[in-house]
Amino acid sequence: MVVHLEYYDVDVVELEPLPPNLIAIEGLPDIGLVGVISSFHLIEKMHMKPVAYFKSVALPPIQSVKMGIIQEPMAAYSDGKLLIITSEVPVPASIVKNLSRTIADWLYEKRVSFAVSINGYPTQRRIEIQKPEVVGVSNSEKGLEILKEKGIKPLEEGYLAGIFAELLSLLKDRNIDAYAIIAESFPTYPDPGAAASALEALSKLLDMKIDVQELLEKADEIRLNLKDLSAKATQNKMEAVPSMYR
Amino acid sequence: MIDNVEPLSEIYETSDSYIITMDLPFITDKNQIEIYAKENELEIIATMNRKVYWSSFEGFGRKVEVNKFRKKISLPVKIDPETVKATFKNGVLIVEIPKKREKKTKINIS
Repeated sequence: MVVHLEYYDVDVVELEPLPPNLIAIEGLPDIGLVGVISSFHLIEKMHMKPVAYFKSVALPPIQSVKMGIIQEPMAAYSDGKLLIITSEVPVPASIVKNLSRTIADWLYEKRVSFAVSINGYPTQRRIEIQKPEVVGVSNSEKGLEILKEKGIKPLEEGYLAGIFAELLSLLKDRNIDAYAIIAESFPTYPDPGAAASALEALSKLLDMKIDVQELLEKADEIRLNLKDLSAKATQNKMEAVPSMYR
Repeated sequence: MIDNVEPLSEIYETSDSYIITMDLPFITDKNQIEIYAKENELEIIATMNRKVYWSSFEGFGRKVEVNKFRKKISLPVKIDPETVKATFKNGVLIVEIPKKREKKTKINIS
């Protein structure tokens, strides 16, 4: 079957000026919602505020409401050190390419020091695994050495598919070091355990303490409340990525 | 108001069986789960230890109290309900449905 995708533009709207040298974290909806769960844990623990949001006609017509005020569902948050990009709505397959390009251009313009994507690696044997393993990927030789120094096992070989794969490449073109932290995760279920493992690896990479205990304690609540987003993210990934690379 | 919520589930096929997995947060023990099998349908009901709040996109974020997961799955082929096996591990239910062995008849070419 031939699927014809319309590609839509994505714009970024800044809410306030941002300082240079922020560390960008991308945690958009993907396998196991590992990036989303990790991102919202960091946003909450570090009391981050929205600093920008992303607009596209392809995004679903949904606004989240916090304390009576709308909050854009696909947004960037910051505490002056980190810049986290995440979303409460799934990323339609039709904007994956343009969203990646918009993010890469924006991070270049904002002169971030480097970028990290947080993702899940789907495995059917996740049910048997108590503590998911994490691997890392970089877009440069220097980055690979840093991963090894920080004790993050590099992914030797394989394929990456999705926004984070696109971002690693686009940021390389713009001379920005970028990493992907990939945790073993359920293929189709929200996975707070995988997010906890990914955050532990992120804390090594950033030399920053990240407490994941609360995340693990709220795991049931997270799994229940993110089930719809997880189902939609899985469906979108299937539309965006050829099956042999999923 | 207490509502049922449909759990996330996945079905895949191996050479000799169909495997259904189901994510069941707030379920900690196999005794909280009931499985009913018919020739062409499986029904799963799992009762949580307590009522919890759940909100969905479709409900505009409105929180409802839930205490049960319930899902009916229509099966692509007829099965023998007596052969269905289930395990529950790390919050995930795994139901294994063996495929019926069909008798093969060799056809002679005239």
